[in-house]
Amino acid sequence: MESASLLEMNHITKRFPGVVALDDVSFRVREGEIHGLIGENGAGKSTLMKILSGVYGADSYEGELLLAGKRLALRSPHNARLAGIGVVPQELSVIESLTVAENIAVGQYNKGGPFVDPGVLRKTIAAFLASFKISLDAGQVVFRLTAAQKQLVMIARALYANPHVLILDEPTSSLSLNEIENLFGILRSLRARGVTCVFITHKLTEIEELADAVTVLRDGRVTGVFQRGAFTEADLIAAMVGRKIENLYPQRATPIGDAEVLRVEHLTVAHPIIANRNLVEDVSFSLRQGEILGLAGVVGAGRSEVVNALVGRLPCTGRILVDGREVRIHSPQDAKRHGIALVTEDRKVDGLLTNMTVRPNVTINSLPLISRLGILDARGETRQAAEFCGRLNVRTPSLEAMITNLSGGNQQKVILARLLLANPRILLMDEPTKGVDIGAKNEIYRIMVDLVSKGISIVMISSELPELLAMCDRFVVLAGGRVQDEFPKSEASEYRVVAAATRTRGAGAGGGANGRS
Amino acid sequence: MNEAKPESTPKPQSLGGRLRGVLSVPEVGVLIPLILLSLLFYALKPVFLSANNIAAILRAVSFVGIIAIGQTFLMISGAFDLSVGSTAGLCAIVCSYLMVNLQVPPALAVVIGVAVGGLVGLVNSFVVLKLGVPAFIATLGMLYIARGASYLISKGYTIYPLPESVQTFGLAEPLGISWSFLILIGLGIVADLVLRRTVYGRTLYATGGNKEVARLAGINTNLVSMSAFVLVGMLAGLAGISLMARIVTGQPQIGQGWELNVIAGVVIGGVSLFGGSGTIAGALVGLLLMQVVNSGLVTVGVNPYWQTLSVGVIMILAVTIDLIRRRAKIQAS
Repeated sequence: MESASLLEMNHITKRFPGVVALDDVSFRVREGEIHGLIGENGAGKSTLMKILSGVYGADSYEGELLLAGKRLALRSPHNARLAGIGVVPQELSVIESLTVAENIAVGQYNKGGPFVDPGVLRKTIAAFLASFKISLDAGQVVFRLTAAQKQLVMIARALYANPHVLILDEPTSSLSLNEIENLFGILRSLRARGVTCVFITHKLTEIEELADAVTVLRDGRVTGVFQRGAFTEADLIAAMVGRKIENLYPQRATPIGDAEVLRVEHLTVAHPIIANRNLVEDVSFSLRQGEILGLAGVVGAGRSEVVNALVGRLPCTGRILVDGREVRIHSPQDAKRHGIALVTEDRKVDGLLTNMTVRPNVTINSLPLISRLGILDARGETRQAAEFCGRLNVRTPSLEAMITNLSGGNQQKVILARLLLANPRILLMDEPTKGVDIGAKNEIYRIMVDLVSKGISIVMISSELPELLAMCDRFVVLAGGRVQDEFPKSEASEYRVVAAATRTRGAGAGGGANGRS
Repeated sequence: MNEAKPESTPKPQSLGGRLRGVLSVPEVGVLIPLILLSLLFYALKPVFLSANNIAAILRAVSFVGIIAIGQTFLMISGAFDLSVGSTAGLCAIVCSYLMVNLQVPPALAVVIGVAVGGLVGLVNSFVVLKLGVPAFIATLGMLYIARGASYLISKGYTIYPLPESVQTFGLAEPLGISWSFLILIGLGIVADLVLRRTVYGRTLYATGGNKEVARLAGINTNLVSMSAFVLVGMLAGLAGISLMARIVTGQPQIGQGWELNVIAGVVIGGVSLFGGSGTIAGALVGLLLMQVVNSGLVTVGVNPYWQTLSVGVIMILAVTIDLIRRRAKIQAS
């Protein structure tokens, strides 16, 4: 043993009815390190963390949990917190109407009796934040903060309890590139102060950048433990998926067509609440047949607003030309008529019919196709749904399984099947691989390449720069709602995208309406 | 990309699995208490299951049942209407006023009465969908407006005598029950087919399940919601006029309290308050359950105040059972 483990989980086995979620898992974290825990969705990361954070009590699993050499028998999350385990959950759970200080101290107000003095609390928290070099205003009301700042509030809340070990569950899933950099900076400074972190993620690049050691989980088993510098990306992928993914990013084999399918001129989307401010301003671009165009930029740069305006979900001005002819798109119905379809950013919010089964989720965009005179043709519907689920390799126990019981990747493929059944010509994909495991990502990329070979054109938005750079033929970089740069794949580089994406941050981004860059 | 395809052949199931399958049919959750309670009342007072009493229960359930069909459509599409009772009253008053005071032929008066219900629904949908007033407030307001209007038209008095033909229709007892019950059954079958087998039915579920998904699918969700509001208004009118025919007078109090009976019954029957799920069969069985409890307590001779209390208890109980059942279903699969 090289150096003492601060946290040890030995031979953990956790069973659910009919499933072994964790099978003899051992997990050791040394003091002062950032330990990456990586695995696909369903690999057992969350289960392991729920044991560690006391959600699953000590008597619900086999194996032992040691912290600083002492055996822990946790009974509840509160218990875990008292024992010195701080958890930053994946979902943002902040109280929007309270201040930063109140949010950080939540549950720990009563250090001075039943009354809370907001002034004292604010000063205490401000000093605490300064000591960790976290730049947040303790008096600010949380609903004014960005997602990244809320994430920091959650981290600060966990730190405030002065934990031995800090667990971060996919903290970057809702952050943009430079916000992630900022977060990593804070984690590094925590490491420098001797705070031990467990960092859960499914992004390989983050592990490479940050982790001192990494444990890989697959199907409830540990399939690899690596020290910094002793692994390659291929090692991690092989451990994660149990097979080699030959080429994660398949490349197109067919040339891009010549016809210009979509042309957007001077697209402007006004801010829904604030007058004289635009979310998207004077954006122009074109899309050729069979081309994949990447819309790059940080979260909030106006990327989602562009595609949502194109399907008529946001009112906009400017010209939209499909096949060279100007079209008016005031509603998703109009967009559908012109063959424009959108994969929405968050499938839970506006992607799935969550209380329905797979079948109606596939066919909902194509009701005329599966009906005659307004009467549904049940057999035809099942046939169409089965065909498209098969074509996109949707893994589901049956077409009558509830959509919510499918994995994220398969849900995303169901949404793609739904759009493709309606036969679109232009596919707008807003973060199509968000919350999807690496195997399903690969499948989605393959589907994209297959689609463009059939002449469908794609606009892709992604916050994961490597996938965007690999998949797209051309790039339009937005910042502050404006086009900052445009270049073909041959000239693309991570540096060029980031440089353009951050060009107007700070000074120009807020007041997109004034100050041309 | 073609190896794994969805299996379409059902696998042989264990007895437990089959039992769970039966239990996961939404209507069964209400059918079991319905049967148990009926047997309980029968054991206490055998007269409870006499042909006369059963016919009385079915007659009583038919008015609210007609409205429940519309309310089920509306709730599946993601809204609800609290004004149905008052709308029923207003339509009955309009219909009887036309027949008695203006000598309009009964058939035409009925059509106009039902149309007034549709108009009320149209106004409701305008206030909810275009002005953006929450359905709870908009239809609560309409509850007062329609009731006030029926008192204004009738000046607070009962309108009679209604034409002979109305009396013949209202007091007739085909199959020993009533015409309105047969109307309910007919409408129920049609409504069930519409919900399960038509594009319109599917768009209702989609709109209530996730409005944004429905919009992106090219569905005019406002039109869908509007149609459901109009439908529930018309059916409320039909129910009010049916009761008017049964009691052979136009009373401005017709329909008082129906709105909550309808919603309670429909919710007991497993129609989601949040839209996107529910069936006609479930809704009607839920209503029947409430009527059986009411009628059973009367037959057994329980203090009438207990009836009101029991409706509340049953409603909370039924929804709780439904929630537990749903949770169990998600874990099982």
